[in-house]
Amino acid sequence: MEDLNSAILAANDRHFGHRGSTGSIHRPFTLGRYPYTQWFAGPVAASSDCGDRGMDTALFIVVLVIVTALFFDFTNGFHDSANAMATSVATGALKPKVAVLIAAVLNVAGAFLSTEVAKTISGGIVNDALVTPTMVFAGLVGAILWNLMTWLVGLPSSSSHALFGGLIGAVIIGAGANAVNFSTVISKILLPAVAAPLVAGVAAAGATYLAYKLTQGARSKRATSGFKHGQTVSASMVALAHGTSDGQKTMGVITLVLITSGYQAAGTGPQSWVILTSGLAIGLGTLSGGWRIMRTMGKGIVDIHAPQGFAAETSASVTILASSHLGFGLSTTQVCSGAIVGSGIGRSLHEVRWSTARKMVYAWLLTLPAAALVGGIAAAVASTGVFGTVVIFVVLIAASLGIWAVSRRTRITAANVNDSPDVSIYAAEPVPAGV
Amino acid sequence: MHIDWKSLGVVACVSIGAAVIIVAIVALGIASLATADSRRAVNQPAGLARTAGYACIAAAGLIVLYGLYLIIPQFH
Repeated sequence: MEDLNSAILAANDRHFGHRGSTGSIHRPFTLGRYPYTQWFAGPVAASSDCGDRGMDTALFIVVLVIVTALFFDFTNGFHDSANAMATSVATGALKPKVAVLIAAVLNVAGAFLSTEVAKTISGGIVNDALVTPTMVFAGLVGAILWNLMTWLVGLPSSSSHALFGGLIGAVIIGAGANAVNFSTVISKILLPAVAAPLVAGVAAAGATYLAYKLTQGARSKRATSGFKHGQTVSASMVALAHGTSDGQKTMGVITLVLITSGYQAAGTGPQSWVILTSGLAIGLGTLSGGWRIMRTMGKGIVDIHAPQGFAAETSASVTILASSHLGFGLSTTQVCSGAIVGSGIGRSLHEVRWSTARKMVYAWLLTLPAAALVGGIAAAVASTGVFGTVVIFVVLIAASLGIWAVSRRTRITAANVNDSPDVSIYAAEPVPAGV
Repeated sequence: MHIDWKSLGVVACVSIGAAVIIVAIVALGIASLATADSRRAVNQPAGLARTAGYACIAAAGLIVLYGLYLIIPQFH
């Protein structure tokens, strides 16, 4: 019995344990007195009546991670509904509610179609052997809060980078800075963040210039409506491409957490309920519209017209497909935003509202450090035990509700998304009548 | 640190090239159809322009199908 227990402990330490600063091994899922073996070995260590408590704790944390992951998927949905549909909504090629419905359906379809689930949570950015469900939870908290903050001020930002950032912060706190592969951070996050908007921007600029040049003589309504029809098609392509690439992100996170906690055999794919709930979460998020971001992308950076919108979405979908098939991953959000800026430049440099474009770039630069900061703090508190984890979850809910409450002061909906290029969080002062 | 500059270069060239070509095809199609409309309005023969326009739109449609083939994993 002792041999079996110590063998299990040794295996756990190899797989899950990591060295703390004092050199002692931290085992995840331990609450001080309730060691991991009680849960893992089950009836083998029958003498203790603490076995069930250990199992419940681990299960509780896994459930919390899954719920938080689905919440992240929801925020991912509304953040990225603007990517595909902002230009179509801005030019009137699609009515706002129809646009988000199409985007939601295609996102969900893409999520169900995608077969290749990520084998690692982070793609080599952090050492996955050292990542515990608590760290994943903390990383998700950081990503969600960043997604909500950028939504509040209406700035498009990459949900993937927010997730990586949160995870990096949580892993640095939980397992030390050595667990983060900083050269991969540069090659997989920072370099693509510069490359994506550049490539998409140049493509869109050239395409827009040609679109206007070639249809110079065609002043008829045919030209505008022709480009609007084209917009519908290219926007749908972006939505579908986004669904296949981003849909499986959350499925991958949930599946990996289930595998590392032992609820699922290693090497298996996502279970049906994981696929269904993740698809539903991203679909509902997309359906909710992300109107604040849509306003910025459709009107705030460049006042998009039909030829520009068509050129931008076509360039975006081409870039997304090229990057995913030729082996250099790029963020959908950054590609689409870069394409929109490029389409503005393609018409004239004056078309682009550079102040808003600058704010967007600042948001991109802040994504990693901000999400990492929140993820790190969340990891520090959550790793004190179940109580700490619950505290962080409560803080997450409270902060989310707070951000949502602030957004209600300057509500942007499907009805008023095209009314103005600005997204503000300060309620406008009422102008006295008769002045 | 290993940066795959070659892949990045390939992605950039393919993206820029494909975007410009696709938009040009659609723009030509739209321009041809618009020309056909305006010629029809002044009772000039518009058949060539209209055919060219529809041919461009058809080419764009084929490109969209290829795009779907690339996106949907089941096809490869």
